[in-house]
Amino acid sequence: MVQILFVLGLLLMVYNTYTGLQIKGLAPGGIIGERLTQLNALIVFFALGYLLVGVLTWSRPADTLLVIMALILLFGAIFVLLVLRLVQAILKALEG
Amino acid sequence: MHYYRQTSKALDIFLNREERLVYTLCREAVSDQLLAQRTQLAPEVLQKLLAHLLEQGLIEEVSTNQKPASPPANPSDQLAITKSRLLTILQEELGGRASQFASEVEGKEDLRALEEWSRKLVLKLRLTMSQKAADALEARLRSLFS
Repeated sequence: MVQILFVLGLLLMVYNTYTGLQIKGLAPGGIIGERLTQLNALIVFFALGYLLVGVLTWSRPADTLLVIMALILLFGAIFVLLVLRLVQAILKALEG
Repeated sequence: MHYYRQTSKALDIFLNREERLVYTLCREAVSDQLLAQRTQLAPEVLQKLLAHLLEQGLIEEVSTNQKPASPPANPSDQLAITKSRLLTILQEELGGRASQFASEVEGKEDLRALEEWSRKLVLKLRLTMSQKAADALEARLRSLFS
């Protein structure tokens, strides 16, 4: 259960990293471009963090604390996904 | 007073900002006095530009009996002038990237649409390209559309 949550969070963060870099190509500068640079750096940092936590806790028996942490990490990844979707929508609106 | 008008020769050479403006204004027969007034160029500079355009065969001098009864000042002329100035401003502020907006500028059919599009472009630049360029463009557009 905990491992599945970690893997889901990690996969989502890998997808977020890809999406973030893709969006950065559409907005190289300006307010969004500058913020995306910082956002992408943090996304990569957190993705590595997910990987590290997953590796370090892989063989540990699941307890409540670990489940709560895995859920927080997963919802953190979902939060990043929603932020990136919002930025994508803004860029699309500007194109139209 | 001399009158000038565009010839049918295709525009196949690069014109600088002032030349392009004068060439656009010469879409219909227009006097040198009116050109000076609209371009706000010094008479000697204007004469040099006219001489260059004449030399290139892009404009021709119209004889006095062919001169128009009244100077052209209809909305389509105004639109053409504004488009030309806007393209020049974009070229100066954005450099090579300005070419990607040329077709959109040319496609606008009235001044209001052009102004609205320009304001949206400023917002787009500010958010996705460069805040500095957006500020500079906004200042120049304010004087263009005021």
